[in-house]
Amino acid sequence: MSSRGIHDVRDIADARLLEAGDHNDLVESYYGHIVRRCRARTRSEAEALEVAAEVAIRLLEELKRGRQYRVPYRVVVNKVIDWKSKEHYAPKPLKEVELEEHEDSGPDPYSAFESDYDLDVLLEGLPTREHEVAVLRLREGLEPEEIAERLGANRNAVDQAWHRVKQKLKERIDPRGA
Amino acid sequence: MAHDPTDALFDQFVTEYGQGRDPDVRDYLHRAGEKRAELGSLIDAYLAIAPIAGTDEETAILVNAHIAGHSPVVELRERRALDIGAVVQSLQDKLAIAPALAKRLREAYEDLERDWLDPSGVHSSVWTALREVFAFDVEKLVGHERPAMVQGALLRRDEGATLAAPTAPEHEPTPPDDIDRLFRGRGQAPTP
Repeated sequence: MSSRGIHDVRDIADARLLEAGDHNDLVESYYGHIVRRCRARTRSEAEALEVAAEVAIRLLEELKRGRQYRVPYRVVVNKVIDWKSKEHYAPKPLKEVELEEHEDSGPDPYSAFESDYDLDVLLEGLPTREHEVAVLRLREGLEPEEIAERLGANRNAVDQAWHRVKQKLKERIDPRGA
Repeated sequence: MAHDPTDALFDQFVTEYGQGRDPDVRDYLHRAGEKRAELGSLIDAYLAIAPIAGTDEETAILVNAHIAGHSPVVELRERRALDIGAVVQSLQDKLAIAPALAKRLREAYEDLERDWLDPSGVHSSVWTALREVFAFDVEKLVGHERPAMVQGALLRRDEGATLAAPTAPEHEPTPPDDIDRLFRGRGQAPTP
């Protein structure tokens, strides 16, 4: 079981909307995700909505300009959330330079960041059993007891595996781009 | 397993989200107290790789209102393709407001739409009528944490009220009418 399976349905639906030119529907379908992440990254609801609106505007502007992406659209959305929320707390000129540099650096700058949003990359190096635990926990929200039952594993082993996954998640947290 | 309270909250969030229950990030951050930033980072890192959940109408309204630069209730009304007159007429019917108060009703509704009213002063019958008009719980959209610009406008209104206070009134204050009772929490709600 890989993270590819987690995102396949979404990626196919997004590709259809992109192909049909339903840009507003596509971006609006991400509002929930954008707002959740913005709430997690900002200090107040007003800030979260402000950043979320900036993300949405950026996404819509790029699509309006006819921009094409070689990566799944969710990667684009996630990267723009990262950029815009960092920009919110940093001197603006610096962040704009960062954004433009990325845009001009290659045929699709977003492809450089695809692995940032790839569960498989996060889980790289974990033994198979721990990988399975992580995917069941992160994808289906199964409780450790349920995972132990599903995999026929020891509950303590599941707890240990989940603990390691969380450690990996913590290791990759960028402290708010400071 | 998770003894650290932040870890425990994160575990709970992952379970709820993974099971499609759309946990409210705000609620979790509030529960984290001074560990808010730490939990926020963890949740954000998780959401960046987790399956992407959908968008509910409330969120769509809030974001689109922000982009358009108007209040969420205006955004909702436009989504429903209603003009103010139609909404006010429906409210007048549903709340059994006397025709003589139609203009006052419109003003009160416009204040509510601009998010200028204290939602706690709005009678439950108004929320019920609005829910019927819009097929949406309008109360969720009013009194949302306001952007600085609107807060400034409210402050100026308050300042005006404070400045006017020491001046002796030229006329006796008018007793509250049905509109005051329904929209500004003054006195008892009218009996239908």
